[in-house]
Amino acid sequence: MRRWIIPVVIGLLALAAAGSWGYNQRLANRNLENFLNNKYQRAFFDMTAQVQNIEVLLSKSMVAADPRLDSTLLMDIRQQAAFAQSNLGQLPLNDALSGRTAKFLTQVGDYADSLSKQVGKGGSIDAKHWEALNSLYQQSMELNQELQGMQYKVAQNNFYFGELVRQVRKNLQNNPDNLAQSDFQVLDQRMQRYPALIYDGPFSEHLERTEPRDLSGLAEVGPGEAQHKALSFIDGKQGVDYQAAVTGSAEGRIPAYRVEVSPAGGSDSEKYVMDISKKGGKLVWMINSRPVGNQSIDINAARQKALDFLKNSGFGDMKATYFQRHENSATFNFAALQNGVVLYPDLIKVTVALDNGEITGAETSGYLMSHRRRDLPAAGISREQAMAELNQRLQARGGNLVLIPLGSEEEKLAYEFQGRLGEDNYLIYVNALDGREENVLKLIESPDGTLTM
Amino acid sequence: MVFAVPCLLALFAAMILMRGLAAAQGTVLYWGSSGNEVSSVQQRLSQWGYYKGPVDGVYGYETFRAVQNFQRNNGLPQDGVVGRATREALGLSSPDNAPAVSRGAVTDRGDTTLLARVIEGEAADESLQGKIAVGAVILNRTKSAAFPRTISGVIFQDHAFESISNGQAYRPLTQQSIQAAQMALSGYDPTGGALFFWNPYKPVSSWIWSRNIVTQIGNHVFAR
Repeated sequence: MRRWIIPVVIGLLALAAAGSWGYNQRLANRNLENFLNNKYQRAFFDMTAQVQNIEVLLSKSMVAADPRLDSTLLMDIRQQAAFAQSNLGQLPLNDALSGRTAKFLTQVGDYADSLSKQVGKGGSIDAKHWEALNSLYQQSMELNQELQGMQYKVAQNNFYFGELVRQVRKNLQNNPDNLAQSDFQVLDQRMQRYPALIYDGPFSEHLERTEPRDLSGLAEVGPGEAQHKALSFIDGKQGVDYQAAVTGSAEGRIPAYRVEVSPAGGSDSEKYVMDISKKGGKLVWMINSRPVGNQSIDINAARQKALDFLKNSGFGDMKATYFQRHENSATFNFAALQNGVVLYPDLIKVTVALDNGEITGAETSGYLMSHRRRDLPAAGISREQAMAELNQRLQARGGNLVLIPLGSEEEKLAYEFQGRLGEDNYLIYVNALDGREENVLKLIESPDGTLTM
Repeated sequence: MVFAVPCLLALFAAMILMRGLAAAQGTVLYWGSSGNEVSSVQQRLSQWGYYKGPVDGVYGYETFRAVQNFQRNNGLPQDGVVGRATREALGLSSPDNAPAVSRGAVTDRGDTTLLARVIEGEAADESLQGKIAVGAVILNRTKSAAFPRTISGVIFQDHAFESISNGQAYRPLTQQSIQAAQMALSGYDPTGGALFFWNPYKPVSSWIWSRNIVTQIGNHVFAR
């Protein structure tokens, strides 16, 4: 009679335990979901407020007449755009949903930044800039309107973003074409309609279409010649037979053949992989991933090996600027020279294995993109005059003429000074034409090399 | 294990004490001293009602008397000299011995580690150039208008990297991933400026195939 009671009691206890465990899990899950939703909502409401600020600030900048006020407004726009973008990045949206909106925010901030620098240098907002501001204002209005509509939905439904996460996840896996149903997708398509914004800042759209300048006018090479060229770039061992094979292609900014060079009978890790440009057959990048043994050559010898490599590979006169160590390899940075003037935009990196001094990597795309013969202006002020412009607290030395990139297209001839204040080292660039201080870099020295910021 | 805790505590206490000693090695102030430190002593004493004279930075009779009174009220020897104990009782930190401009603590170590994490999570089985390529995509994104501008912003963007969403990236890092991160940071980009990569053998959104494909490295397709 009592026999069935024990199993039933045990069963009930087990059920109760499982139930309470499940209930606790559900509570924890809901807490987490709430927490996430709150975070998403904060980011969304903040972003809405910031886009609203951008709209107001843009309209103000169109009517303000005093350059000083303009400058303040533009700096505020830049700040609000940066905040808005940071908040957009925290929302559960992937690039398909928010890419164009993010781009708009970046460009507003970037445009305001470049314009405020011009105003700061004494320029004014002319008709062309006014038109650009107006176009940005129209876009910001539309973005603002869309966001207000969404804000209403979010306010109605606390789990708006939770549902969005689920929807995005499901859509990505099953039916990508339904992606367009999302409110954010609509918003992004609306932003897509606007024409490209062209100005001087780094995010201007015409810069995405630049061509490699060093390769302009050079003839196309065939795969056979690319293989031949590839063999000339490697720093192989004496007496070993190397074979090159084109294994693919790259259609990036610099169209290239992918070439693999391996020693006959060697293992896979001794293989060199590289890109050879289709125009002119120049080296774009090369990597050899062999393990590197203990250091046996010093940094100066390694630097000399890198310089020899550049000379043999057909890159003209170059100057080593700084290096970085990783494990038993060192990567050296080189800048091109023209009549003793260092051309900082034209950079090449060369990696040297410190066990035997072999070149295990090179990267030349910076050089290929921007190198050309420059019409360098004559310096308008002397080195001493430029030095007098420096902060008097600095102990300065140096003063070589260099060409520095400003923004993305602009280049300026400048005197380069090494300054020291307390324990810290700086590089200061003074415009060689008008004596304006163009840039200050801080040098951060570590055992692995020197970093500039 | 039981003994380790008190041992550690003692060590901490010793460290704090030593730090206190090292920090309190200020100059001793007495009748006849002058300068900024005297001014700050005078200021503090006048705030607390011990000193009625002018805050002029000169340690004269008035200051001497004020210090003595202060010392009496605080149970310190009444020598009228501002030494370490009196200075501490006054709540004045010792003058800063550090140079005006201190050495910064800026490194790129955080970025390297973050980058190496995603490389490890997304491309653990790829070759070195395949790993560098993944790092380069992240860095290209920081330079693109359509993405956040910082490495952490790009990496922790929602749904950006599967290995971050599912925790795969939080595995121990291999040496090669760290090397790839360093090389990507120093400027290597085998992808020709790509902003996207995916494994063509896995189901992905068809949207992503609409991007301009640049190249393939190992098991990843790279696109702009």
